[in-house]
Amino acid sequence: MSAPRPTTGSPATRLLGGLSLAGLVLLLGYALWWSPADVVQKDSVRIMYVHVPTAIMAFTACGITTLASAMWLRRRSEGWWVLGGAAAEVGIVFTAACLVTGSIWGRPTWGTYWDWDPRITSTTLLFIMLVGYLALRRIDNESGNAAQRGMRAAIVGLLLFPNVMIVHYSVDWWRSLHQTATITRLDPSIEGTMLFTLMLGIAVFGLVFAWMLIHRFRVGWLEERVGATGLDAALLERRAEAGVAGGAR
Amino acid sequence: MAGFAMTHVGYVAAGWTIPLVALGAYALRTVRRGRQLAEQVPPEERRWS
Repeated sequence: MSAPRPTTGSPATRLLGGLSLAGLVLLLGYALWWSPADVVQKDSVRIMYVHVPTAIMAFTACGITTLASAMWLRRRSEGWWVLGGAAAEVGIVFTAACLVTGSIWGRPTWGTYWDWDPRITSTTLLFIMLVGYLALRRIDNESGNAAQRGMRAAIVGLLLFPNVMIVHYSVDWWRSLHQTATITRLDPSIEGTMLFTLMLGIAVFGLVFAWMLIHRFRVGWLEERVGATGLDAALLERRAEAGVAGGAR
Repeated sequence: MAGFAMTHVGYVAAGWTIPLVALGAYALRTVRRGRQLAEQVPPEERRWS
């Protein structure tokens, strides 16, 4: 029997993945069938059970990227560097999902897919910052070096979580189409099965987010290993070439 | 059952299908990339396996 193919999986991530899939099936049942329609929003409220959790996971990813950027600036360790990139990439996927689901929900509820609403605009800015952060990590900087590139990316990374705070408080600071806090206050404005479904959605997407972040972190870790091996091989090749050229003279 | 008399069916279907397909595609891409890279790295460098 041949050895199993190497992957980024482990027993813990396989358990996490199984729980995520089972949770998603349960969530779909509650979100699409068992929870009631809203009196005002009717059935479009069902989009909220994916929109709100993806938004929370996007903000969590930004928080992790900011923490990883700060720690990288302090310690310059590979682990924090890889974590920052992994969280930002997963964050882009969740921020895009949040923006798309919000837009789809906005059409039947507000009558428009897009508005220059403070929360929508600041979330879009967050998406652009995440893309910019990853671009700065990967940009080919001929005049600079890896440390300078890392520094520039980390500075953008530090600005992500403050922007999350702007997204969160934008509905209180400016006139907005969005309602003010629904579930973070002591007496939530939804209850019963609807509140349970929303909480279940946050828990399930939390599992999905954790699974993705772990796998993406391991991919980043492997990329660093493969990159280092490739650099070592290139250096050995150049030294061998130089040795041959030197010997021929 | 609420499903039979649902309003905004198209929006609800799109609102769930698009993010789930996007997340699924990203997860698949990440796992495949991980497999490709894991084959190039010795087992002692893969601390999780």
